[in-house]
Amino acid sequence: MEASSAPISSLGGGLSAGPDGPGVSIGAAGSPGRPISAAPGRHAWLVRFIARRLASLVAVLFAITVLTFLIFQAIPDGDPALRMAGRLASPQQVQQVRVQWGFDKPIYVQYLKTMEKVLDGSVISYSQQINVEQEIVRDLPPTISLAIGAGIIWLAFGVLFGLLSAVYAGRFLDRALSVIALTGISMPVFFLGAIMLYWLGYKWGLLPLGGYVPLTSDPWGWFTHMLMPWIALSIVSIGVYSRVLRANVLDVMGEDYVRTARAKGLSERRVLIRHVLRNSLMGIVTLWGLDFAWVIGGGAILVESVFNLGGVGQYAAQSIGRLDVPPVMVITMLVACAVVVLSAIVDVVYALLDPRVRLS
Amino acid sequence: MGSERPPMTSDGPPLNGTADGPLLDVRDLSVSFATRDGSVQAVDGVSFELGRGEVLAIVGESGSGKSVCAMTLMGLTRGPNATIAGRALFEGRDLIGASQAQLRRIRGARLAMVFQDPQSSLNPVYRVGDQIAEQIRAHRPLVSHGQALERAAELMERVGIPRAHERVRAYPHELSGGMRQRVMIAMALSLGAQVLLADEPTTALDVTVQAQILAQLKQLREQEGLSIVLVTHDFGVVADIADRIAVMQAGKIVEQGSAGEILYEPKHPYTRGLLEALRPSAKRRSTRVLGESERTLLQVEDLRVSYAGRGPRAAGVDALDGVSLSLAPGETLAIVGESGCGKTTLLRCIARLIEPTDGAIRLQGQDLARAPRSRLASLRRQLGMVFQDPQASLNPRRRVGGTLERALRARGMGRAESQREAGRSLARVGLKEAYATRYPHELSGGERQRVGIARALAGEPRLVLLDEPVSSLDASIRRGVIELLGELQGQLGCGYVLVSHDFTTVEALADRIAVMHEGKIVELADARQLLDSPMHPYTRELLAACPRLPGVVRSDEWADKETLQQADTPRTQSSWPVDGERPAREPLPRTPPRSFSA
Repeated sequence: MEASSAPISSLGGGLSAGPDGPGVSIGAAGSPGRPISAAPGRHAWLVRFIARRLASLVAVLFAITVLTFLIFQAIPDGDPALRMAGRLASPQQVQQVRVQWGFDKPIYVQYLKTMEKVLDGSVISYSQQINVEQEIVRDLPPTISLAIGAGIIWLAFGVLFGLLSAVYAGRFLDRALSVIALTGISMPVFFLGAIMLYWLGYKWGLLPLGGYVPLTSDPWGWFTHMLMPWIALSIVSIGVYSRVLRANVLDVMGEDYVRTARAKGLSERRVLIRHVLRNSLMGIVTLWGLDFAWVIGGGAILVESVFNLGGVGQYAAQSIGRLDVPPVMVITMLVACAVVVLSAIVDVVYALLDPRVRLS
Repeated sequence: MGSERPPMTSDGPPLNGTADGPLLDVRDLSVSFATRDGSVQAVDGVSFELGRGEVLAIVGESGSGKSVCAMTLMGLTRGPNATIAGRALFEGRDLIGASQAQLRRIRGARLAMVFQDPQSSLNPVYRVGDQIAEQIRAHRPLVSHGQALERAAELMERVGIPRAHERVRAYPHELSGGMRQRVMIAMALSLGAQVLLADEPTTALDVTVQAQILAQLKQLREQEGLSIVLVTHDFGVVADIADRIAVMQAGKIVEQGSAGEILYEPKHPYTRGLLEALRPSAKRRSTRVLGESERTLLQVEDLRVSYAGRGPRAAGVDALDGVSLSLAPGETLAIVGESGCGKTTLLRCIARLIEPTDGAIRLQGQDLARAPRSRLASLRRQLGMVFQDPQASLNPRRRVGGTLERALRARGMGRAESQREAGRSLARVGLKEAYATRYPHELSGGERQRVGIARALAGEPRLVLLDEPVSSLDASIRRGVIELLGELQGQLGCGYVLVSHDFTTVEALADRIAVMHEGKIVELADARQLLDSPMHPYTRELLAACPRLPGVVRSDEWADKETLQQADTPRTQSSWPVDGERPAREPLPRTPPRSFSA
């Protein structure tokens, strides 16, 4: 508390304008690094925030690849040489494969070799000997389509149902929505998917029976093919999100600043949207980022398989069935990266929503 | 007093819009809430009037219905469970019968409210200027956001926020508590409200800030003719500002009259009790004059706690900056200061709940500061701690007896012995042994704090640390707990280190007082000496800002206080320069070494 630039007498003839306790009163604290009104530095915090996040991102990604690699080393009965050499191979043949693929080298050499391959896109699967990364790139469009569409649907409906539930808390609409939400949460995707395929696809012929059509070649076909997977994947999340949001909204409604907003004479709608909803969305943002990343990384294995989308998740499922380590490892790394990147984005969004986060 | 300034109501209707008679006329207001255990009558037939430019104080303890009263007038008592009856005429309109749409037009524009905690009452995610502008635009849709922001800055300047044009862009967490409350007041008055309902507006603030906010309210009343309903539990606050006082108990107004009548000739026994509780205990123990060599129970030497700043440019913060003190067995040392001065840090550091950066804490000769973690548990057996909020510091899922037994066993007692001893502990703090089977929520606030004291005294520690032990309790209960603490010290001969912001408590218990400011002890002296003739300017300011009843305040202090409130810039009256420049780096005036142990 050294510098106080503006002499108080210049500000209006002398109201009591003394120092106000030892709290962090902005100007008086004399911290030039935290601009309040200066326009040029207004978004400096955002740049610093993102730079810091990126730096930690690199460290986390390195740790993840090491961990993933080690986990796949520790899988029982996972000796890749044995697996690759075939069932009737002689010990000499197994040894030959081992040397040829570098499995006899120390573990850190193997890690570096693997990472080299991962980075230049030349990982070959053990069982089919095809390029893993090309396969994943081929499988990404359906997975991304699934994630984006379903993500939008479950966020929109989750927020809508949650808000309605909270506003009508304890009344009929709230109870009805909570029954629906619980039904949705407890509905297994394979069951729901099968039902939808049977009625909407087979019996009534409204929607195609699974498969994927690229957006670029046939947008309408893409949409009709994705509709059922989107709904099937969203149902559970809508239930969860609406429950979480309902609880958040009810919490925030009890906050003092909501009372202040009402005391200001704002309309109930404005109180709800501007003051309650924005502060209730914080938890949802985190949840959404993680769920979205999980689908991107092939987490929606069941939905992809039921509707035969041919996405990353389906590829992972097939590879696991064959105990084919390289694709599973690369997909695991993909999930982890997606989660880390998305959570960094979530942090930025979080800081945009809540100015208090920007300080730390 | 800046008389050339236009009145705050410049864009509202003229001041004398209605005929004579009270501005607000409340008749037989009753509010009841339906609960699972039947109906609860929160407000029971309350009637009062408020004239133009008048300050009415509604005083009562927690649960007396005073806040519900104010909320109901604002139309904020909501929900299907509330039943409201009676009449509240405001500018010729009945607030009770009005529809939500009608109320919304009055709320914020003609009738405004300021709440207890400015930190939680402002939305943390919006800039303060935007929050004020939002209110202006809710009532004046034709005003642009830019104009509203301009007006917000003007208003903030008018309620004494320096550099208001910059601070409209600040977020609430970037302002101090007092500044936040000023923002709330600016917001309340942004449309020229006639009546301000202030619900405990200074309870969450430090005393010096409280004095400033009260002065601000007083000034608004004088300059703008604002009428104020001040809801508070604190008679000290009331004495300063109220024209009339209504005392509430259990939903009813038990006594109502002019401030002078209520403060000097209270008729109702409840009012008398409340006032009595504010006067310092007559029964002060005679304090022995102790030599330094006798103060061997606790010796704190040059204690430092620093937090490194984050980032290359951030400077570190010294929460404690070289604190030294000592304590004799049976002695009470009170540590006073405003929030953030480091008093709680010091207390926690003595128990080593916070790691000291440097310095020594010798408890009966053993250094607690440098003891290895493995020995901490056994060293801590010699000290007990009483926390501020007994509700939060007792495990809600454990019976009272269980809590005490656990504390006793932590001090090395066996199972059977601790069960017997738990009953004795309860008896010692004036509770029946049957309370052992109760859960904390089945006790009243005062009883809970007695359990907290019993726990701290389990195993009869030599040193007891008291962190604001009565500040969460109502005034009428405080007295009993303070007396209990005094008695127990007499019986057990333990030393107390007491942290409090309330001078009534300090005066009743302390042998010596240490005043802390920005991590340092600025003055340490015998209690009487420090209260009667404070040496350091900060101590003087702290004492002057402390709201008290006129009867208790000595005449010289009272004069100081008047100047503080009447002066345009009270800070220029005090010995400190204006606007946040506290003389932290100025050398302290030397107090006699006899009393200053630093």
